This record gives sequence, C-alpha cells and structure tokens, in this order.
Amino acid sequence: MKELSIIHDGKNWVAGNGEISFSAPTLDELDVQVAEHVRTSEALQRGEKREVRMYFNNAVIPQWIRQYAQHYFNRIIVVEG
Amino acid sequence: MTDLSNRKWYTGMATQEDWWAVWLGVGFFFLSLFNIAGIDLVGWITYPTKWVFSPPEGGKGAIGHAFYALGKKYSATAKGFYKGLGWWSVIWTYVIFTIATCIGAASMRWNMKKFFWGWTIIYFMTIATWFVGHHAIIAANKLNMKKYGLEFALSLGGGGSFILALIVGLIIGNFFKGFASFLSEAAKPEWYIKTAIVTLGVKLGYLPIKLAGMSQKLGKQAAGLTFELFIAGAAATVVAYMIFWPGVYIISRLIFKLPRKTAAVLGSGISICGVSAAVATGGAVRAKPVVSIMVSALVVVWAVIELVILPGFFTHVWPKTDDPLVAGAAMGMSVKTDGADAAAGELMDEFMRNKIESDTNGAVKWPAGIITASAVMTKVWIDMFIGIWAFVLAMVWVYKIERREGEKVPASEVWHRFPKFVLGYFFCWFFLLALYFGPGQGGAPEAMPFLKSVKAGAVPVEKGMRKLFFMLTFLSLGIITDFKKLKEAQFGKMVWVYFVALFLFIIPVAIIIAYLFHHGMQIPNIAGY
Repeated sequence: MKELSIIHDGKNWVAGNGEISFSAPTLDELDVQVAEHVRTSEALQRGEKREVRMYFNNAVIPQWIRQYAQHYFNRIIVVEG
Repeated sequence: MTDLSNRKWYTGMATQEDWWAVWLGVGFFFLSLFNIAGIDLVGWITYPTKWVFSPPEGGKGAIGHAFYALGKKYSATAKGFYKGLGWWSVIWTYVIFTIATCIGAASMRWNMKKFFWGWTIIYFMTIATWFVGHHAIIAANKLNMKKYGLEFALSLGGGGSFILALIVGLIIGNFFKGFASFLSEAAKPEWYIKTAIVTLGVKLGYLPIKLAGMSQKLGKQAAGLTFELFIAGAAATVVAYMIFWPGVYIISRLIFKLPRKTAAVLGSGISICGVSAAVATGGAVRAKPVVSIMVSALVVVWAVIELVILPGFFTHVWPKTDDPLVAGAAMGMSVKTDGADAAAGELMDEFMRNKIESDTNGAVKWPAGIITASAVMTKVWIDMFIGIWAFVLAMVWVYKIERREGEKVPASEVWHRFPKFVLGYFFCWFFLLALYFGPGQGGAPEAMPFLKSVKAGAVPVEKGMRKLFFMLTFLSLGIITDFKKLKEAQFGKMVWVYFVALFLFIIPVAIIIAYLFHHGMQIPNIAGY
C-alpha cells in the first residue's frame, strides 16, 4: 500500500510523498500516472491488487477557512495488475 | 508545509481548532466539578453588571462594581476571596484564558507572537465593549431602570454588548484593514463559538439544576424541554436537508445555469452549513478547492448580514415572543455559520427575554439560554449530518456521475468531517444530567446541598466563560468580515444565487419547518421564584 499527499496547485492535481511526485490537470489522468508507477515499481502480477491512499494536504487550504472545515478529502484508488 | 492531520482518526486531536474547542470547554468544565469536593477553581471568571456614571443614593450601578468575579455570588466555599477580586477578575480571566488559548495556539502551530498580541488586544477590546454595552441606558429595561436613576432605557439586556462588539469588529474589518490583518491570527470566531457551544452544553445540563432550586417541578420541566428540543431539532434538520439542498441545486442549475460542481458546492454552502458544508461538498465531488474557497467567502459575509437582520426581525415582526423556540430553530436552519448562528441566537435570547419581561410588567420571566439552545440545537444536528451528506454525495459522484475506475470512498470520511466540538457539547450536557438524575435525585430537597455545589462550579462556566466567548465571537466575526468581498467581480452570479436562495427560499422554508416541529413548545416561567 502506498500513501501520498495530494493538493491542487491552481492548475493541476499534484500527488507525492517526498520520493515520487505526479501531476495532472484531472484526477483521471493523475490516477493513470499513479497506477502505471505502481504496476512498474511493484511488478504487479495479473489480478494482483494494491491500494494507494491519498490524503489531502490541509496546508494549502487558507488558514481562515480551516477554522470552519478541516477536511477536504482522502481517497483510495485500487490498482490492479 | 504538509498538514495531513486527517491521516488517522486521532491525528488531528492536538492540532485542530475543533478539538481545541473540546479541550478548552471540557477542561474548564472539569475544573468546575472540583466544587463538589469543596474546591472552587473557577469562581474568578469575570462578569459584567449594569452601571451608570452617578448611581442614585441607595440605588445600584457603581462603576467600581461593573465587573465582578462570579464566585462572589455563586461560590459555595470561597465567596469572601472572590468578592475581593472586583475588577481584578478581568485580569485573572485574561491571564488564565491567555495561558489556555496560547497552549492551544502553540499546539496548532500558529504564529505565537501574532496570536498573543492579537488575543490580548481582542480580549481587552471585548472587555471594553462589554463594559460600555452594560451601561444601564443600554442594558436596563423599564422594570429595573429606576434602580439606576434612569427614566429611559433601551431594554437590550446583554444584547447591546453583542451589537457593540460586532460594530467595533466590522469597523476594524472594513476601515482598518491593516489592523484587522494584524489581529487575524487571533480573530477566530469559529474557535471561540465552538468553545462557547461546548459550555452551552454545561448550560443545558445545568438548567434543570438551576430550576430545581426554584421548584422540583420546574427542574423536571426544564429537563423535559431540553430533550424535546433535542428530538425536534433532529427531525427538523432532516426535513430541512431534504428540501433545502435539492431546491438550491435546482435554482443554481436551472435559473442561474451554474456548472454542476459549482451548483453542488453552492447548494451545500447556502442550504446546509455554510463554509464547512461548502468545503465538505467540494471535497466530496472532487471540485478544485478554489470553488469551495469562493463560496466560503460569500457564506461568511452573508451570515453576518443575517446576524444583523434576523434577531430583530424574529423578536419584533414575527413570531415575536409568541413562539420563541420556533424563532430559535428557524435561526439555526437559516444562518449558515456556527458563529453567526449561535451569536444570532444569543442576541435574540437577550432581546426576547427583555421584551417578554417588559411587555408583561415582570409577570413572565424566561431563564437565559433556552432560545440560544434552540438555535444551536438545529445547527448542531446540521453540523453532524454534513459528514454523512458529504459521504453520500462523494459516493454518488465517484461511483455514478464521474465514475473513476478503481476509486473507493473511505468510510472514515464521515468521521473526518464530524464536528468534534459537538462531542464536548453533548458530554457536558449529559454529564450534568447524570448528576441531576443520579446523586441529585431529580432535584429532590434532600439532594439540594449536592446540587448547590454543582451549581457553584457550573455557573461561572455556563454564564461567565460562555458569554465571554460569545463576545469574542462577535468581535472576531466583525474583524474578519469584509463587505467588499461581495463586490468582487469573480463571484458574479453566485452572489445573486445566494441572495435569491436565502431570502426567498431558505428562510421562509426554515420558518415553516421550525413552526411544524417547535410550535407550542413553552419556556418555563421563572417569575416569582
């Protein structure tokens, strides 16, 4: 299982964890990049599954809003080999 | 900087304002319980009283007594000590709450220097407006103005102070923007109001204890009424959700032709619970955060406009004092931030209690806080439901509308969006109810010494701390509200969607629903006790 933080930089969704980083204008395209990386780096066998958890980095939400709401979203994508 | 405070279910406990409202409220509530063992640790909390420049002979209102430590009146074991504090209670309150809030601010990794100075200035401005607002010409009514040597008084009760605090805040926020920016680190209305709402839980639990001191029957009546509010608030909220959200979504899509995601975020922001709903829905439908941020800015400004209009409207136009809990519940469903709603409820509580007392020449007197509680109760249910609503929306969006292969919506999202301060509110309420029905024997005369010791601790928290945090909320709300934001071009038709939906749809429907579920609920009359 991989864990990544995710933000939107105004143009792209950006997911990463210090070692790797992915960037795409839509979540669909981001997911394709992440899935491809997981399949290659973990050498997934056919039918084998891996979960990738993405936690939204609240630091990009303006501080004045964080007093009202402190959670944007967390998401899980399941990558199949 | 990375903030993944919602990585695990417990990871935000030391770093989120929501949790810090719980720690502050419940922390001081626990301190108050030491009174059961005969140790009064909260009697220093300061409270204002009405004053005039030259009190009549034998009358009331000396400036020297304008602030007092609540322990002077209510302490069971240290009355003498707290009596001596007088105005010094303002400093005691400052020092102790500064330590508590600074610990919170440090844990949340705020800029400590900015917070400390901002907090200090906001605290003393709050005290100053609280003091001015308690001049008898503002706060007294026709029944007690003579005691202060007055022939006329505005009958605003504590509401005058709230209005003043809001005006002072708005002046700073709109005309002294540099100063407002300097104060911004400590101008946190939602943190203060959430703390005040936790202490409102103390108020609700204490009400039966207070009224039991007048008569056992009244105590039981109060306990019953708070439960009725609890149930009616839940029912009204569910109905409101079912009508509000689709209504605003349809208005946004069909009349104003907004894109689907914007309509969803705006629908939640206007119809449910303001900023938190807008952010939750933005996340749920995977909108770019900027959409939620824009809607949130609108919500904050409109909520303050509602706070200015609705308490006076409900008190003097409809339903006046005939159905105060209908007005409270409608307020909870109409005003879209916790801060503005609870503040509006508290303001209306002051207005209506003073009005009924004046109108009936003192024959009817309502205990403080029940109208506020009715406004907060519907809001609290709305807050709790937002997590579930956002979860449902996320599933609809991810699995149906924008189906993405392999994406799952974690169930933990419901918890991450759950308003944690609500836990503190219910905890304090039910803890005191347990004391009332348990060792307090439902207000039986033989249990009165025990209940009096509970009262000695509860009053400084539910009265002094709660009102202080309400005052801090009013001032901070004003400071962060910049009306110019409404003029900013990029909001375009969102401003009009908000206006049309709020005044022609949300408020009227809220009033109807509140009427259906709360009509006829009576506040106990404590005149003569």
